[in-house]
Amino acid sequence: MRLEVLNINFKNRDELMSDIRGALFEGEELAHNKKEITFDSIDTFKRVISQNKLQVLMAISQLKPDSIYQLEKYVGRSYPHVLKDCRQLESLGFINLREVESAGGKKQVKPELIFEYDLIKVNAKMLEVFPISERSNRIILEEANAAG
Amino acid sequence: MGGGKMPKLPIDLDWIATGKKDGETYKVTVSVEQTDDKKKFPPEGVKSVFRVFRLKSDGNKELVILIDNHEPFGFHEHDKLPEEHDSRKQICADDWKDAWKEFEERMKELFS
Repeated sequence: MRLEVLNINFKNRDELMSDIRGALFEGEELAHNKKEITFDSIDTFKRVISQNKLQVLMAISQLKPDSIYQLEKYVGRSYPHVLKDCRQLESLGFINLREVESAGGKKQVKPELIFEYDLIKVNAKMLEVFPISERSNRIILEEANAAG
Repeated sequence: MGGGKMPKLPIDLDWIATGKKDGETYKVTVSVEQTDDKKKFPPEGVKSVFRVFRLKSDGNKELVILIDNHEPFGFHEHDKLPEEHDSRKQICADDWKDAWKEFEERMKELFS
């Protein structure tokens, strides 16, 4: 079974500028991968992605909340904190916040992953993988059992 | 498009970084694409948008740098961001290459 991966890659400012200059002035191909998010450093990534935010991502993937209110109940934290995490995750490119209408005709905000990724793979010197979906947890467990 | 090699368009990328002076988190988005509308995106129909957002700790984001080239302004910078979105300052750019150089300077100020 193939797992969908959201890649976290790193480029410093000079590398970014050089890539854009190459595309603009030298006709070099600049890869567009919608399944990756690029940071300047692992420090920035670790500062903005907390355990709470990973928990929010896992809840969105596994429990598919229809609203932030539902998500708040799943993660057991207060609404303002969960909303703030969701807004930051949207700005960073991990999720979308979509306005939908509930069955009762009330407008609400539905958090969704930007695509159905199972894992977040952090391509730093020390490779790190964060399982997000229920499927990824199951496969990792099965592989661990098979190895053990 | 003038001399030199043809650009490889579209360019559409995001980059998240820490500001060197203030330690804040920023999101840089660069979008350059060829359109058929030379009137709306003078002079060559290349739509260019260079933006930097500050990602605030309360979850909101504010636009702090915006250089783009839609009509009737040509290449311009929105120079009083984030307070005033409608303020525009014409920049010394005849095309997207000059606009990019202007943006590079702004990037250096923020990230070095």
